[in-house]
Amino acid sequence: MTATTDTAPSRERRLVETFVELADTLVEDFDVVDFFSLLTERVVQLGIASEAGILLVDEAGDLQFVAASHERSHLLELFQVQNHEGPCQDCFTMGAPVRVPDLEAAGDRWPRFAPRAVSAGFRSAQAVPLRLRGAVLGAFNLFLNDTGGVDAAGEAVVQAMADVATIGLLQQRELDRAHTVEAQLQRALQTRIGIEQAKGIIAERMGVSMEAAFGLLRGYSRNHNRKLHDAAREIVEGLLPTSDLA
Amino acid sequence: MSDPWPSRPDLAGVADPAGASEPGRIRRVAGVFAAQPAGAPEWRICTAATALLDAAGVGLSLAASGDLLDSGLQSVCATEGARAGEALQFDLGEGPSYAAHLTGWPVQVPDLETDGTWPTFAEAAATLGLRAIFAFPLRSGSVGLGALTLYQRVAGELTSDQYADALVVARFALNLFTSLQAGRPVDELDEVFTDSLTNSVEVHQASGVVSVQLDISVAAALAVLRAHAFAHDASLPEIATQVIEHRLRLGPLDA
Repeated sequence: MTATTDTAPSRERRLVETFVELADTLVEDFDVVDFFSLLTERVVQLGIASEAGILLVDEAGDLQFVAASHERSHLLELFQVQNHEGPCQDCFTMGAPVRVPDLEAAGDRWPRFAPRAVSAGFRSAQAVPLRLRGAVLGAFNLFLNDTGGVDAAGEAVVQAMADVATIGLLQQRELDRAHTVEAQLQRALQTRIGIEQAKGIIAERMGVSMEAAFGLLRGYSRNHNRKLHDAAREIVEGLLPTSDLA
Repeated sequence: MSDPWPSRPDLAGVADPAGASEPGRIRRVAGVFAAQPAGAPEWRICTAATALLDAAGVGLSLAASGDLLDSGLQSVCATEGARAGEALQFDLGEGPSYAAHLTGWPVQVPDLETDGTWPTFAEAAATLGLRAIFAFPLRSGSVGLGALTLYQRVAGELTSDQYADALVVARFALNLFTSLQAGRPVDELDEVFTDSLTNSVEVHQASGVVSVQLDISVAAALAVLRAHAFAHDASLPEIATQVIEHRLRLGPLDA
């Protein structure tokens, strides 16, 4: 039994299960590549397309390959990236779905991509944007062995999957940002503590008050164009002799 | 052919212990938070947790770095019923909050009298009238930021519902701290954090002083200060103040 021969209620159930499964993966140890690989596999298992792939935009604004259900579509995705041509590229540029019901008739639009896709055995294709409000984050590519492309019901499912994927992606980026902020917060706190520890060391060595110790530390960092917390850390680690502060 | 799409019952609940990410629960906890009297958000988190979890006291503490010997957990805020317990953990440099922060896992001590993990801490906590403590790490991935700690005057487990609520509150606290600090330069701290340090500034200064006097690292000096405070039944800040004011000079034997 394969997913493509499922009866309608069974397909409906698998659809629901897919969304539950995708939502389940949106947890803390979420991995972008795993998640998108799962998405491409499921869209094939649901019988919506023969193969699927996903391209995402990188920091420089260029599309990059992320995941594909099969090696054949993997290569086609890479081909689009390298040649800046194809339905995925257009879908990303326009931020709208691109339907290619007959690849053999699409040679005018994509002179390099269309023949390549046909020779790989595909007859139709479709691309759905990963979109959130104004921003397009990438595109979801579907390849079919037959002409006609994805039907309206299939396209609605794919768009819903693309929306889930977009949420997953944004959550991951938010998580990355939070990690950076947390690491910074830890460092900033440790820096403050390091300054207090350095004041204690300077005060004891030089026989001065905490306030005077801070003045010496600040004076040194200004005169030597050093950051206060760098000087403090060197004092604490014994790398900067307190006698240098006087 | 076997089912190409097996269900994954073994994973059920792992990603979501006790249903802590149920939208309904998150909304309910957020509602309790919103219902707290106006004030600083960290206070509202503590008072909301006190109400939600029926706790005697709730404290939020922050770690300056992953290495506890460096600095310990700084108390950011604590309700009346949590203050002494938070201070005790800072004095001793150990306890459930430290363990939760270090391990990244919730630490539940439903009865301090029968728990042998921290004999020194447990004995001192008992004299403060504390009987049960539940500490939840503020952790995102590999970065641990501190702990949310509930203090109880009676022994008893948290219900699974309370446990899930506590996880949600801890997540709120983590989000609060990171959003307060987001977008700031590395050496600029939100005042929530600088205020948390004012309680311990003298302890860190004293660590510097003792490190010179005994020619040891500041981390070792902090341990010496803690040992002296414990041996003399004094609080760590009290001993630190005496050291800074030269009313007390620790010898190597005090370690």
